[in-house]
Amino acid sequence: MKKTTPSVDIVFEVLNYGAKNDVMHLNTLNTKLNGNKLYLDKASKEVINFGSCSYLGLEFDERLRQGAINAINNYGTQFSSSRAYVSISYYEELEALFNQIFDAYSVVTPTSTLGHIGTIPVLIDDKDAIILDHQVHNSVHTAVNLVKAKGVYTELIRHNRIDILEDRIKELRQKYNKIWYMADGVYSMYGDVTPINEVYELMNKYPELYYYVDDAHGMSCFGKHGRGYALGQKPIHERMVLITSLAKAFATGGGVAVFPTKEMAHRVRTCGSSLVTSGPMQPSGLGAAVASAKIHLSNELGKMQDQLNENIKYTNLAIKKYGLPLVSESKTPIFFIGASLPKIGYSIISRMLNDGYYVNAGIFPGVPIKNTGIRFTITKLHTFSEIEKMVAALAYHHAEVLKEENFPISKVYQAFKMKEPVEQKLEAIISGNEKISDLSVQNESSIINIDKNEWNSLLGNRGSFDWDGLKLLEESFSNNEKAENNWIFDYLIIKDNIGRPVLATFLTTSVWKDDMLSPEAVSEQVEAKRKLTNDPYYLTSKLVSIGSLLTEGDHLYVDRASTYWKEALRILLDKMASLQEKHKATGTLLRDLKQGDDEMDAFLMDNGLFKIGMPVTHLIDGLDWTTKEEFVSTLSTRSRRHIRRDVMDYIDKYDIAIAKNVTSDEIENWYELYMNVKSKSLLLNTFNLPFKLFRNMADAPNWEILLLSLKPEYDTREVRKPVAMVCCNVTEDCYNPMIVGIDYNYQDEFKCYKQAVYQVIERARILNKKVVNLGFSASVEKQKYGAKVIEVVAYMQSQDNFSLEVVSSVNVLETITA
Amino acid sequence: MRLSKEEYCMFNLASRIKIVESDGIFLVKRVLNNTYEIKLFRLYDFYVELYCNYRVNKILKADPLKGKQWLSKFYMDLINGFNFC
Repeated sequence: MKKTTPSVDIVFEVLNYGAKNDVMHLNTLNTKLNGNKLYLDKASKEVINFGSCSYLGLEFDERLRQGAINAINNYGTQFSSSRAYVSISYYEELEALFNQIFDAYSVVTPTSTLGHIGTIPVLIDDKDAIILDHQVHNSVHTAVNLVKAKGVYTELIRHNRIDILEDRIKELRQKYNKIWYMADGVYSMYGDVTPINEVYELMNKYPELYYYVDDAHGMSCFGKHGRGYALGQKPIHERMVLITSLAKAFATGGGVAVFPTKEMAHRVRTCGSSLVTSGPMQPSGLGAAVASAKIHLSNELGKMQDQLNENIKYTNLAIKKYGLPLVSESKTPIFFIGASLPKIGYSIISRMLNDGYYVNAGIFPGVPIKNTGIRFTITKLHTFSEIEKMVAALAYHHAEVLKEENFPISKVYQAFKMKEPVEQKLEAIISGNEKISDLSVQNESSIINIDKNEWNSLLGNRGSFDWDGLKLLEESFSNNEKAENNWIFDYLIIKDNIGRPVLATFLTTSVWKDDMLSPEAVSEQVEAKRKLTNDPYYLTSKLVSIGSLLTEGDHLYVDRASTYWKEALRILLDKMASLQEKHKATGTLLRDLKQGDDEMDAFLMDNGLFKIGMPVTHLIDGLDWTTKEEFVSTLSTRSRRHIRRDVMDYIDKYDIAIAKNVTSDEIENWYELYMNVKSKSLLLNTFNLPFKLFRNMADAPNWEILLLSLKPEYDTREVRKPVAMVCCNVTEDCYNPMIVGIDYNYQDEFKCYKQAVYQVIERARILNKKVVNLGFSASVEKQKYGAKVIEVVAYMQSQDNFSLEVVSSVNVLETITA
Repeated sequence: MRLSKEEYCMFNLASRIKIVESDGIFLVKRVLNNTYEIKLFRLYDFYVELYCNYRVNKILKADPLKGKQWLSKFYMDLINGFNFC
């Protein structure tokens, strides 16, 4: 089964979850609006709007209203012509006004997103490189994807990391004519700003560097004539392009692209796709925009900016006084209060709505999922009293929800890497508000400290991770030279107050490739980059996962009949979080969970994990046939044809053996066969397994190495070696083929892989096993043998979504055509 | 919301007037040169003087009293019956 790119699925899950919790996809009930109060469909009373981006409240200004009305009266509701043909006169007037506002050359665009789409492909070609700030607005990414498809080199760097930017410039300038650094003037989630002074210094130092800024949230609020945060700090650089929005504080809708030269502006105006082939801004927007631009050029704007600035100051003070975890102190009208888990964030927002305040959810993909928070905005229309009352309510509900969820405030500060104020720490100690659990937790770092019978009764027959299987894994994945071959094991058994197991699992902390669950085409590109940069650890992360990179199956025992199951899961998640911190891992993963478990879904999402798709897994049960013909008769008509033709007709060409008294050479041969398969498949892109594992499997009583050799008449080599091998773990009820190796020199002629699959099933039957776990990959093939398809999912929590975004940003076009 | 004197000083005149009008307690008023009115307010744990040109109805300043020694000036005026309300 082809894996889907996970990021779209994750975004859907998270945002849909918000909608289900009545904090997103809301609707106003007002028939008329004239200020910052709203009636919303999911709120029981009128609310004060703290989610508006119209920071100066200009949308209610009579001059703008009249400007729009006059324009409609003069021109009608639309002027339906591309600007490539005819623009109505308002455009000329408006662009002239913007030239004054920005002291640069302007082109009006229908929206800022279309501004990016019109500008980026015109100015940037494949001799250039693009470096995107991790938090740059999504609309910039949208436009960049257009040029990526044409081969423009693009990379993502961590937010506001000018040191990394400079390192990248030094490297990329050897190869590219221009290096475009793309950032926001004011970032829309946390309200922090671009370090413009430092970037200007870099531009002065490196003539290849160009600066592309989306200053949508800075427009009107800052700078002379409201030219924005970026241009409010510095005049436009000769190597700078700025796109801004007229749909926020400017209050009219539309966008503007701002250029340092007339030639550049003219080029974009002439060739920009959104200016040639998209509809223009309509008369009403243009009429209002002209009125707004005139206000911007008057003395009035300064007073409005001052009022807004005063409100911002007041808000910062109020937040400090009420002790809320403000993620970054804001000189902008955007504020972000940390909540950590989505369920906490949504609960606070819901309560605020009931209290008469509308605030936004700061949620994935805008922020990492574990960094959910309450985002609110301040406008000129808010009074000090409204601000204080809202902040007081927010502080109250924030504390109440954390208490309800038994979630200490220290964890919120931890999630955002913020220092907790001392007074709050002391208060937490004094109030001792952590509930004591009824459950007992056994946590061991080796399976040898766990009772074998107990472990096997809970997890022994779910896959290759019975007691003996785990002992072998511990021996094989420790004291190795390469970091990826050293895993840290943890075992958890949680019992209720009468000693009944409620939850059991094992965890491994190890290095994963970030593209493991991405489509093969994406892994191909990432592997190419690893080779090119000679960095095998490029885009890898240390993860704490239930199960391990070698095991498959349901790794998590949970007694759903127990009233304590959710509490036990919370303890597990806490344990994983503390291991993450201890081992400096970047995320945690719960994998191989059943698809369609809505209750588990909701619980894990509530606790800040997002769901990602996994490849399907396969199993065969009902091994009660006794002859080959009986086996074939259990299959579908079509499959019978395939199996007879590709498997049964070749059985007599093979000698099948279980390895015994093996030599080092034989083990080396198995490893070679394994590497043949490993190097061909990127379905689940993992690191190579260590040779030590194969040596340990050869000696282990609960492992069999199934060897398929061709009879002498078919294999004329001097030394006949196996053409296929399968390393199988044997538990009481299950036969688990874990590693396969193929000699591809014989694959086409003798269909070695297909034969190997059949022989595994046959061996399981001989041993009277109930189930053969065939694992991931080769789904179409395995189904021909009657394998059942089991859909499984994983849930992940990541410290940040940087790596996920880098992997997701690998060329989409190549992914689609793969 | 209680502000310290330093926090109050962060704000511009328009904001200070709002704060004083909302949270301040009027104490006493003086008139100066038949043009200026100086109102004394207690605001949280400090005092603020509002200077108003009542002829043009414009508030010119809303500064905190520099120190308690200035407070005695008002009291002295009160004791001496000098243009107080």
